[in-house]
Amino acid sequence: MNGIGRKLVGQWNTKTVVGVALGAILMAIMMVYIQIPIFTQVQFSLAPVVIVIVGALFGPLPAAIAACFGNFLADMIGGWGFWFDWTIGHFFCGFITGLLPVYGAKVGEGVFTNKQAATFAVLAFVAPLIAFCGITPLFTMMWYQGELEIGMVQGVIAGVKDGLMAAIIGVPLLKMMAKKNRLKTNLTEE
Amino acid sequence: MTSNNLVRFSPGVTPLHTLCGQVKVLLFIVTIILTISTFDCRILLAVTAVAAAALASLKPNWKIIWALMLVAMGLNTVNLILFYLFNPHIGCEFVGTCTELFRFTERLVMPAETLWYFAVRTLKVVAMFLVSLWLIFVVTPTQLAAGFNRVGLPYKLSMVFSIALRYLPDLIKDYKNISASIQARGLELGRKKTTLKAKIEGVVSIAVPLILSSFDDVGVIADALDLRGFGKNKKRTWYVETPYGRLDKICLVLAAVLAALTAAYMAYGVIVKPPMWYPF
Repeated sequence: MNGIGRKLVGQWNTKTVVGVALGAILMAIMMVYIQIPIFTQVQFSLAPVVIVIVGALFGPLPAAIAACFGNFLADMIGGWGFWFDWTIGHFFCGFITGLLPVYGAKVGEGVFTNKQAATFAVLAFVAPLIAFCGITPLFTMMWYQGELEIGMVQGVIAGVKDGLMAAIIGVPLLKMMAKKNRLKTNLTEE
Repeated sequence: MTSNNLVRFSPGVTPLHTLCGQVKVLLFIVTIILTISTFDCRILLAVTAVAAAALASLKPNWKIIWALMLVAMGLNTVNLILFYLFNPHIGCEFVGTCTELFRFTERLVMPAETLWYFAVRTLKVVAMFLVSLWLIFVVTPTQLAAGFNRVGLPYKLSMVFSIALRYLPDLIKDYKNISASIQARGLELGRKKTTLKAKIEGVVSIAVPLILSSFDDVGVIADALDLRGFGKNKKRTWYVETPYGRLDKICLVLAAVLAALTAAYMAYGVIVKPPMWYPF
């Protein structure tokens, strides 16, 4: 696999498996328990922030899988039934949000520049809009014969809310994590 | 946050509880695909009846089920109202005919077909809900992981389910500790007593430490798994996956027949594109 492919897929070692698992269950907990309801199937929670961290530490595919499994687990522990249209939407949202290593950010090694922060903020805002306005409503229409427009309205609310959350809380959090990881070592690359 | 204890950590004693993880996952996948692929109320009624019977055989706590059902129906009702306000003729588009029953205003007519569409969609949500709940009540985290692995998901991905659900009680305990310590410093988290801004602040002040402290544990858990040889080989066996019993074999045949019928039904839907079944 070439460089970009490796960055997209990530390194699937034990640490990644555990990181994805903890990311998925944290996301589920945020969606089910630590949230404030806003609109049907849309609530305020810090679930997008969890995916930001998984993406920063492990890459796009692990972030996508954590988001997808996290939504599945939220449906499971919430007990309201599985909504696979949203599960698929979360996969795409996680993938785009987790693209950090592709444009050079290495939060685990303490690298997160202002330019990368700006790129991340734009992608973090756009990702849920693409996923929840473009992808989820299509599956909702296909599987539940719902109105595409209603699905898109739900998607816009969910997308804007998740995008703002990921960008506003995600950037300072990633800066903080990068700084913490940079200070962990006194070795410099030659 | 109080867990509603839906996730089982030990297998139950009813016949369906004793099925292999693979059989449970297969039955769930086939039934969900059938439910998703149809908008025919006869099939949905059959799925609902079978799922309800299967759920009842597990002897669940009905109070929890009714409470969850109420939430699901509430969400569905809001969606249906929105659909109606946006397009009162939505049912006519699926059935192909339009019989006006009465009208609220010039625009808001109520065709019989729209009422039929709402009934069928509600039935579909109920069917999906009961099938989902059946899996939730019948499977343990390890069985879920083993089941997904044996139906083709790579075992590292399957383990995600097992590890994630195993850490649910620990994370709930951490949440309670963080929440208590924050409230001890004077932050009011009572749902009725606070404003939206205070509620959001409360969520952020609990969630951020919970997220960061949880990710600090990743290395420790990964080391523990590595020391036990996790990821050494390309395949693995599962302690919970016992040889198939008589009921497992019957259910496997049932799942195979249902899968074949579902595939044929889906192919028919793609080729013929029939309108929604409407008996009136």
